[in-house]
Amino acid sequence: MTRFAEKNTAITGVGMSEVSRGATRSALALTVDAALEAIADAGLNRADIDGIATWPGERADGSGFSPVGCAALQDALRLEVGWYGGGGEAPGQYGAVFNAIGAIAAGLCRNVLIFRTMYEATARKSSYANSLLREGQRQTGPFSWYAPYYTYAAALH
Amino acid sequence: MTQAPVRILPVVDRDSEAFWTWGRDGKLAVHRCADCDYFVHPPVPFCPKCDSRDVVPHAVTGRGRVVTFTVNHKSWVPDLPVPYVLALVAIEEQDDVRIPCNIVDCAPQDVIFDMPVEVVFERVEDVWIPLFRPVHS
Ligand SMILES: [Zn+2]
Repeated sequence: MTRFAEKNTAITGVGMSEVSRGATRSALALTVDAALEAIADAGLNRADIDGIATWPGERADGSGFSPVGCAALQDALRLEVGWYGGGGEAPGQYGAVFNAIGAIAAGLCRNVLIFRTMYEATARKSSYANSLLREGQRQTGPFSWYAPYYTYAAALH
Repeated sequence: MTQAPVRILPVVDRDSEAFWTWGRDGKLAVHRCADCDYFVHPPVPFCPKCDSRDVVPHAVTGRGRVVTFTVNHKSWVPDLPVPYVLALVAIEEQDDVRIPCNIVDCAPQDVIFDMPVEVVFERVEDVWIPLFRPVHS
């Protein structure tokens, strides 16, 4: 029988940090802002959070594409979790949501803090301009079949 | 006079080496199953049709057709000459082999669906990038 786990879960709170280009605060600090706002909005406390999910997980490459992962946020908020997950092979940002639904449905946790941190507009001022590759760097993986063709934004699929 | 920005080059591995380097000899390499002749692209030494592991690069004719395309008008990086055409080309040997490319030697407004094209290579460092141009009969 088909069972829709998402029918038994709910998004109970949301939060958002300040958004800017050239942020004056760290990516982690901004993530903490958003997380605390979401937890409060849900009527919960930090102690109620027993799961964390993010997409695509920490990328410590200076690009700002995903500078904060589960571990950094868990440590900053001293969360005690029964489950966490952050990885790129998921359907985008919603991958984190559906991973959390699965974890809740499986009974691994009850209140999952789901987040996504982007810092590219700030990173390109302080680190390097191209958010995906450094100058001269070659492309690996499936996108290598597209990269040589000035494929910056076209939809070919 | 400015030079077009350098293309982002692929990391060449054992599977992709033929595709990116056979242009040195003017040949377009596409992996083909030695047992059932099915073309496999992007290249991987496994045939999804017959389970064979004997799938190796094969020089195709380099001719095909434009399946779909996008005319890009925005200069995403400095000095990127616009407009230019991004396309998917199907090789004439097998229609489901779709190769991302630019259409060159052709005004962007003249590119049409199903247009017959042929491969031409642009060398950048140690890579020969397959591009396609209209077939002039
Ligand atoms: Zn085969």
